[in-house]
Order: sequence, then C-alpha cells, then structure tokens
Amino acid sequence: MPPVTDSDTPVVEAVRSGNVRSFSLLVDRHRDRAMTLAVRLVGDRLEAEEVVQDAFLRAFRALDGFRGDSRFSTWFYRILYNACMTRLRVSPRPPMEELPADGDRLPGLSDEPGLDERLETEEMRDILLEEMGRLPAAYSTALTLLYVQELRYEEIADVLRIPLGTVKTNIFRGRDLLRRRVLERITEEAVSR
Amino acid sequence: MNEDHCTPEDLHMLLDGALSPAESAAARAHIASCPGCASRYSALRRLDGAIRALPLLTVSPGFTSTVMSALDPVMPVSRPFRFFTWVAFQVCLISVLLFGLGVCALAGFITPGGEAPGGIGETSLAMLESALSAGVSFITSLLGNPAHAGPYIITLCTVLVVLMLAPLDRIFASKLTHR
Repeated sequence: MPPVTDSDTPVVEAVRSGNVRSFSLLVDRHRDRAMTLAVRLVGDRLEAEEVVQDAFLRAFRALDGFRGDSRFSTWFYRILYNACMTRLRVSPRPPMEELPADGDRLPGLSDEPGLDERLETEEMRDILLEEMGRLPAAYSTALTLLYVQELRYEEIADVLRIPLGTVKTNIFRGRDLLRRRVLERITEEAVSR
Repeated sequence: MNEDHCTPEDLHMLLDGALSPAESAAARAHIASCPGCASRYSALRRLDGAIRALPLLTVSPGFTSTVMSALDPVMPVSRPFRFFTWVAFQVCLISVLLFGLGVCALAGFITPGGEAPGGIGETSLAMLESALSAGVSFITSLLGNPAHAGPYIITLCTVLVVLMLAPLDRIFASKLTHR
C-alpha cells in the first residue's frame, strides 16, 4: 500500500528521526479535536483530558511502528478511541440512550419552511451542542469523527473497526435524529414563549 | 439511486462527498429539477453547516507543555545519536576488554599462546579460552617488545574507527532534522 501523506507527514518524520520537540506540533494540531472526541466518548472533561494526554504519550511511544499506510490523524484517533474505550471499561459513564432498533426508520427530512433556517442562529448553537452530546454513543462518535476529525467514511470504519455500512448508517441516522431533536426543541421553545 | 427521487442515503452521501463523480452529477442534476429533493438537501446542508460551526472543546492551558514534559521518561521513538557518548562507550568497552585480558594474564589463568584445554565437550569454553590466550599474546608482545606495538595499535585504531563510523548516517540524519 502506498504511503499516505499529508501536512503531518514531515512532522512525523522529524520526530522519528530524533527531533522529539517536533512532537509538540502534532499535539498542538490535534489536541482540541482529540479533546472534543474524548469528551463526547468519556463524558467528563477532566477524565477526557487525561485520556487525551495518555493517547498522545501512547502515540509517541508507538510512532516508530507507524507504517504510514494511513494518515497520522487516522492512526492517532484510533489510539485515542481505544484509550477512551479502555477508560470506559474502568469507569463507565452513566448509561446513554440505546440505538434505535435496526428496523426503525427515522422520519424523512422535514421541508417545513423557516424551521431549518433557525439552526444557523447563534442561540441554537448551544442546543445543537447539547443534543449532540445526548445522541447514542455510536451516532455521536461517528458524527464527531466525520465533522471534528474530518475523516472519510472508510477512515471512520478503520478507527472504529466496524463495517463501512455501519458507519454510513450511524452517520445518516445520527444526523437525522440530531436534526429532529433540535427542531423539536426549537418548536417547544417557540410554543412556551 | 432512485430514478424518481434521491433517497435520504443519497443526499447524505452527496453532502459528505461520498458519491462517485457520476452519481454525484446525477444527484445534483436531479436536485436542480426537483423542488422536493432540493428542499430536503437544503435542510441537510443547513444542519451540516450548523454542526461544522460548533466550537471545538479545548484542553487546559499548558496542555502541550504537560505532554512534552511527560515524554521525557518515555522511550523516544529513536534517540538522537550522541557522537561523544558513542566514542566514550567504545573507549570504555575496549578498556574493559584489555583490563580483563590483563587480569586473566596476571592471574595465570591463560598463558600466552597456550593450547586450548581439551575437554569434556566444552567446545565454547575452549574457543573462548583460545581467543583469550590470543589476546594475552597480544598484550605480552606489546609489553615485551614495544617495537612491535605499531601494527597492533594501528589494528586497534582501525577497529575503533570502523565502530565509530558505522552509525555516521544517523549522526548526519540527526543533525539535519535539528536545523
């Protein structure tokens, strides 16, 4: 498989050649995205930060074994995801919402005029963020890897070690569920005013 | 793709750039002529834009420094080569070997040019002792006849130089990356 290169590649090579200080560039680039994913997976901010730190240390130790057949970010987020899963086994977070049964199809996208425009307003940002955190973990994780880590479907499947079809399903359903819930909240707030 | 309308999956994949160029072109052509699909796709794009606009969660100030300071006790992926450390190591190694040979010679364990002991199947021990006795020959000839020291010193220096030059590629690679 040909090596995959991106802006992280020269930095990774520098670190592997002994320029350990360059690793801080990788930390600076990925820390907030990593934190966003970790908080969504682990739940608690403090624990999430510990897990992110641990993931960076693990990545540093394992960097010599990084073959370059994927992007550094894909490889690193797999380490982070595994670190989060390990943490969750030790201290599980409160039970989250279960995934809808396979047969349940979410309602189609509404075309009610005017409602979706409100999604873009500043006040809706908090609601969206909150609802994102309330999604079933499988949906939230897939959406975070798509939007925050900017991974492609195949890369998400690689990080989560799940079939590509499951990734698509989780993204589609997660997005639909998120949209429906946010629009419900908007409607409720409009009624209560 | 459905001939009449885009499926929800098609719309999601179009949004994420996951359709093939041909599928993408067909979907866009359909959306351009179908108000229903256009409305659904537009709704999806608004949600997409809203999610993308969400702020990232940030780590504590000083996070990077904490990680970098925690790297110290961790074995780095490949330590930079230290030239003088390497030379010192080689000198120490040779000195220890010579000292060991000298001690063996003084203690009388090995005689210069002595025969390897025969023995009860201890071939490796015999080989070791042969090697040691050859080394002791070297020491005694060096001490007994300084005129013969030249070739030995040259040989010793050659071995040292080869040992030191072997990792030169690492020395240069390390210096380049430190620029």
